[in-house]
Amino acid sequence: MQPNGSAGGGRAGDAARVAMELDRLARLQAELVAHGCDAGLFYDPNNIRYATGTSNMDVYVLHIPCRYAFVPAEGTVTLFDFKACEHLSEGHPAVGEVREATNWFHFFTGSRTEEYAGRWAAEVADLLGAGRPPGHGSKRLAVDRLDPYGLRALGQHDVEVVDGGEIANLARVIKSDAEIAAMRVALAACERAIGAMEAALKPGMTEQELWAVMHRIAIAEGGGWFETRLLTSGPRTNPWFQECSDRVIGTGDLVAFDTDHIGVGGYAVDISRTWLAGDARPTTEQRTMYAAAHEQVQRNIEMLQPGMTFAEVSERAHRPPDELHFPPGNAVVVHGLGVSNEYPLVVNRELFGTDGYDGVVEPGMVLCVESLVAPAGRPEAVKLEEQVLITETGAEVLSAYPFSEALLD
Amino acid sequence: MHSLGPGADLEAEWVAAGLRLPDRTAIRRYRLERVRSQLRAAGCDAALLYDPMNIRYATDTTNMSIWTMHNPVRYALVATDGPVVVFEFSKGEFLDTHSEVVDEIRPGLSYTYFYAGTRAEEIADGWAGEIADLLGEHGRGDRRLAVDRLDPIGMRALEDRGVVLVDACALMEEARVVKSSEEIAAMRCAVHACEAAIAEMRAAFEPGVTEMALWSVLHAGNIARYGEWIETRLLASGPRTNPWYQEVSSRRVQAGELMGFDTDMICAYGACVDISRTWLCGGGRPTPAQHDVWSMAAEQIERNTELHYPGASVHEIVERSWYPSLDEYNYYTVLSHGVGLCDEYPSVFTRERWGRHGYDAELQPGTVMCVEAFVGSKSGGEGVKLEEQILITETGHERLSTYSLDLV
Repeated sequence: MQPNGSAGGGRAGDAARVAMELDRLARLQAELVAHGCDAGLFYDPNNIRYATGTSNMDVYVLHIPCRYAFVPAEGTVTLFDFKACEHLSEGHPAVGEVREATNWFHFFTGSRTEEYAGRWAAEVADLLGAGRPPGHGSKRLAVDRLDPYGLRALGQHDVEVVDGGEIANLARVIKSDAEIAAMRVALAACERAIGAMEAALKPGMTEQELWAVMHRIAIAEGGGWFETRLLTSGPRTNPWFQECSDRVIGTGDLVAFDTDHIGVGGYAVDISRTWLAGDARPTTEQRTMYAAAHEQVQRNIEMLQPGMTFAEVSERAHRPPDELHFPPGNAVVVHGLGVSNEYPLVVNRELFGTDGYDGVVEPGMVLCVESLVAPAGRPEAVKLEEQVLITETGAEVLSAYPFSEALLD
Repeated sequence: MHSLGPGADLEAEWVAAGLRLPDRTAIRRYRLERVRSQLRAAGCDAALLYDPMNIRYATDTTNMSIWTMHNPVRYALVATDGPVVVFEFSKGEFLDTHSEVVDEIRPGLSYTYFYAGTRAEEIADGWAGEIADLLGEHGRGDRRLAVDRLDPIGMRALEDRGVVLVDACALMEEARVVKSSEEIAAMRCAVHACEAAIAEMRAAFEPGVTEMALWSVLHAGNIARYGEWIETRLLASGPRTNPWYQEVSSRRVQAGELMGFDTDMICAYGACVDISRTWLCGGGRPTPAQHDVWSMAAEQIERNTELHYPGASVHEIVERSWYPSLDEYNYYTVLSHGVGLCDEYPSVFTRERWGRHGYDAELQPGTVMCVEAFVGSKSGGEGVKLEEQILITETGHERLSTYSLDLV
């Protein structure tokens, strides 16, 4: 049986995938130990995939918490999967045991929610205590998502609950060579989809018709899903963050998008490009904005060095001239990326004091370097974003998709 | 500015197909009143909603829905006797101005590790203070708040301020379970769009095509028709059809094999269309084994659909339902389930699971149900997945899905 989450690739590909999955589990367990936890319980399907390599109805699982992974500080994972899904864990040796999940969301439990939560908590507490003599004090459990019913039910047992989101983020932040290789595969597939979209871009088509091309190729390549719907054209580019619509793209419009794609093998691809639609010459304003965005991304990639603090990154980050930059349309200088958008987040220097937090840039981090040039009151915006790997000496650009020659001229 | 819609071409296509376009203002008002009436019945001052489906239901606003499912940075407070406040993701405040049921838009705060790093508790404290102030201003004093999703940090911060937390999932499901005629009008357009995308997939269904390539056609058809996403990856062929739940792969479908899929599609107007079909690749006649599993699945759909009518209880449906022997056949987890903005309340389990899992409810006019079947022999061979979407009417039920259930 071809394992879920496998892009194929034969026996050698499978061996590499299995080694990567076991390495990720070890990283997660090291972080659990560093936080003094006896175990972690993970509901976010991105965390489950990180810990086990398995996937199952992931977008659905994002809003219906119906599967979870119990990760002990040492040993294999007990995966609580959806009913009748045991076969999906074949070929994923991080999973030592599959059990049927006990969930307490209303759609499944109706009036019996508390009964289910109690049953769930008893099973988790039992796993936590397994092999330990009684009377050795409370157990410490990291949980990445836990609603009040669950927290109260665990409170009936001697379990201390801490934030599993922090632990998972810290485990995920440094990527192994195998993870970077997997990410390169995901990037190449996504970039073929971007290429198909650029080839298909013609004035007269709607934004959602263009976005459909991206979905068609990316899914056919084996990609997962798109986290957002950020593709807009012409006046819908500014302010940024509007979602893809039925607007008909016109000749000379800017078309901007952000992939936010969970790609082949479960690795995220998060890059942005801006194009000029149709056989038109860019306006001076379009060229000025594009050049400013391009310069921002390039200079910030050159700036990134291992050992810099997030505060330094924020302080030293290049930004476009004030008339193009203020008020800033995008608060982010760089953010982390792995199996999804993740730690760290480094915000603009204006916001760093109020919203920012510090840390250190390290080799093995993957960062997305952002630019949004969206001058207030002007009709259009330019969005660019590159995905880079922090190496021992600087930043290596992982994304290879070219910038727009028409707009860079 | 951000009011999204299907566009003139799609609207014309739906009208030409005899469909009526929904009155979106009426939907917004109907839904908000459904939520408030549940809040009143539960004695709550407000609901605090994080699930993007619940936010869409209460406010008709969206922003990066899938991303916010695992990055809880966007939330809405719906006061029972006060304002609807959307706490929007940074810089996105302008996205919600189209909805007349939204009274106020504020920037949201997030205490997740990604946003707050080591400052989670400090930020959660500010976040909780703002919620508590709103409850103080618009509530009746006991600060009873319904929450649909809340992590321990936030829960502790609110409880420290004397807020009493109750479950919003139950009351949101109760609100969502009865659809208005306008919501059904929207869902009919969504079904039309979904079935057009299915027809495109059918046209691409040739021997040698990969499962992923087929699946990509359904995605593109949905996105191009104002749809948003697909919840799962349930398309499988040949031996991968049984047991069910294997995700779409790079496998090439061969002539003479079965291929089954489940749309699980969030379509136009945010309506979910959740239907399944199984097709025979390359045409021709199914083998006796293929015909057997298909005819059992089709019989299960036909017989169990008949049990769905207003006043029927879930327990009664379970007792009277028909499905092949679970000793001999792999089966689907539920016999039927509700659907609206996604899979919804209620769930109808098999007789074998009733004691441990089942709960009772009564079907009401305006509820939409998906009637399910999966049949695959436990001794191996291919399986068949079928699923129909039906509306409970005043007198019985009406099928909303129209695409043929046949194998060829």
